[in-house]
Amino acid sequence: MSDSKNSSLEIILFGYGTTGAKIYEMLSGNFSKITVLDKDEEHIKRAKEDGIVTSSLIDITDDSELEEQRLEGKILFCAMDDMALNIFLALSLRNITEESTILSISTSAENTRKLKFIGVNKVIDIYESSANRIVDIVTRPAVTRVMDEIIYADNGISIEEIEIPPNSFLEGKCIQEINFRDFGLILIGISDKELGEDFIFVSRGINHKFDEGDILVLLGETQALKDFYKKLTGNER
Amino acid sequence: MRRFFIRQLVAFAYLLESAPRYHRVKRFFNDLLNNDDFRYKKYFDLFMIFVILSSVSILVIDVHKHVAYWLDFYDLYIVTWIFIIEYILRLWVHSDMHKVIITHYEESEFFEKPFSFWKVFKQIAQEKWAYISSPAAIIDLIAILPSYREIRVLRVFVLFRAFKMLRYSRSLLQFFDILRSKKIELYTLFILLSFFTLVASIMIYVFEGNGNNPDIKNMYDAIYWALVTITTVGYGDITPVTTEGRAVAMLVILTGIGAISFLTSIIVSAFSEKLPEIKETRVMNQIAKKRELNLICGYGKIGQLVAKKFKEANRPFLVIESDRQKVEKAEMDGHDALFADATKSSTLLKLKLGKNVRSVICVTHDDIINVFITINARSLCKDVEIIARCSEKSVAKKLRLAGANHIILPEEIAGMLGSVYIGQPVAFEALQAIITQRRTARIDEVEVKLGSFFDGAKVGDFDFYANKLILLALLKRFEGSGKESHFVVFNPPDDTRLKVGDILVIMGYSVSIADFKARMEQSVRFKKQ
Repeated sequence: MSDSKNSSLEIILFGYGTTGAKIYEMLSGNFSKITVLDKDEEHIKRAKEDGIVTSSLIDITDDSELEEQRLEGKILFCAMDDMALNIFLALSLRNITEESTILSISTSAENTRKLKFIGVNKVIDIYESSANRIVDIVTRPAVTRVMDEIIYADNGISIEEIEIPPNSFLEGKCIQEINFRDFGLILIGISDKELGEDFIFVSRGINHKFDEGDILVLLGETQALKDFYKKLTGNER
Repeated sequence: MRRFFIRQLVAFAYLLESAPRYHRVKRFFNDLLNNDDFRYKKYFDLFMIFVILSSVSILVIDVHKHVAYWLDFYDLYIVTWIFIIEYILRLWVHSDMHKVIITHYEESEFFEKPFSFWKVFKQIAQEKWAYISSPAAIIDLIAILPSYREIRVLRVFVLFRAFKMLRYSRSLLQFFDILRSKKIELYTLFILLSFFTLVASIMIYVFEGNGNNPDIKNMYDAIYWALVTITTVGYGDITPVTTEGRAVAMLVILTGIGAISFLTSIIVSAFSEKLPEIKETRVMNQIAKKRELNLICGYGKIGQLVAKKFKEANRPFLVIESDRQKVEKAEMDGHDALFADATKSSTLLKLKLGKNVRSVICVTHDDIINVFITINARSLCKDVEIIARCSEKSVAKKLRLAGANHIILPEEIAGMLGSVYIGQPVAFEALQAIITQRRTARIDEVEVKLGSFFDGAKVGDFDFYANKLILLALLKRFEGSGKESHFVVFNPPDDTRLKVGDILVIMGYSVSIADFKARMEQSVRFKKQ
């Protein structure tokens, strides 16, 4: 299921400099529809050389050119090497489209603050995340190992969020009634739309009632996750 | 007779050489007296400082009124004997007499030459004399003298007892080290001052010593006046009265100001030159006490963040930077920082890489330097954890080859985070919240301790759910391997057996995790009884 979900997502990556190229590399592992835009001819040339057909040269400082790209409903990833340009781009994008998800990289706490103020959905501080990782390796080696296995390593263990479809077998049941371990899964938490976007960790011990539209965050082997998803959607009607 | 004596002497030397107890005792005293890293030296130093201070104060009080009899006794016998014993001990540990005898004996046997008493004695005497004639030893010896009350002048040597304190205080010694670095300048100044003083005193004597000035009766008075004036002290008990004398005084005063400011500038510049060194010694002293040290090589963007986070997590760390400005920045931020080149093996050895260091974190902005540091650290120590940052994939391979345990590619991490976020925003936020521990829910690791209720139990024996915890994974220890290595078992089935050294990775709220850890600790205590 995640394959179908990931293939339906359309991503526009702004910037194919040193940072952008690496981010493309990571993204292309999981997503297929990625468009690369840059205003630097050299960068686009290199993108073409790297085999990215969907790359094109536009002046990203020009709003009309941006609008031509039909940004609505897409995921916009700002990864320009020049931070000032990146912030300017994020601002233009937020201006043009209200709904799209905008991600941006950042290189300092100050830039992160600015980007968040603009309304970027997710700011990733390159250095901060690296520093976090280093500190985690040193202070909590076992946790880091486990997290790596979940997020980075390609060993079949992954974390997935699954939205409960209407009329599933979970409908109306409580957390305690379902033993996720029987499915080989661990339920980490639930995001309930009725209670706002807040994320509820299972370990809090609240006996939540499953509803259609709730998002379950599950951890387990890909096969187990797939089976569970089939069971969940198969019981429709 | 001579033969018999030689044989006895050699036999005694061999006896000493082969007696482990003798070596142990000698090493202990050597450590106590000379080894700064020895645990008990500190206490010995404090004791000696106390003895010196008490003895000096008794002597000072004694100048005016008589002190109690027992205090006099203490000063006269106990202190003196402590000093004498210390002096003899230092003389003893300075060199090994029996080794000299043995080498000479073996040499004479080998070359079939007669054993020469005179040579042996000469060499031993030379070695011991090297100690006796060292300034510290001379001060020690003179410090013993004031106990001899019959000669009052000897009391002056009380001062030497104060000097003796230098031996026990490293910072005071450092001061002299600094002055020593400016030996030539100070020597020149001293010669210059002596010359001016002499010239000035001769002149004043010539002008006023003939009776014009009743205060200057002889050359001694003249030198005294010249010195008091040239050092700008100017007591005024002797003043020039003639015009010529006053002219001399004016010249002396001008020279004096120059000389004194020269002296001040020498000392100040010596200090400012040595300041980094003093700081380094201070940092090294602090670091030496710490175990499990993390070395952050490079204080760039990542280095700064890592240092900050380590400080928050209360982990010991040291910043190593080869850029003076960045070192200053690290110091301003309140971190321990060392101005050094981490690519040099001497730097890492100085920090006792194999013993005190837990991890080396290479986060300079230059990939090549990071590779160098990695190679350097790995070649010196097999076990230390090395985390290295780089920006190119090709370099990452090299870093692996060089022996880095973890490789950080900042852009790759950012890309990975981005792709996780795009795919699963809710899960991502949840994970972020847990990882950054911003909310109260977090993931933690708990090791199965020897004798705890988990030791030998099964996973299913403990109801994690009822305790509001989730067991995410289990890190099982590889059987047989001596090194600490684990493999990860996700969502372990209930019948998984737990062993000592396994690590449970659990998720839950801080309170639940703290409670769980406490229970683990407690159960250990009960089993032991």
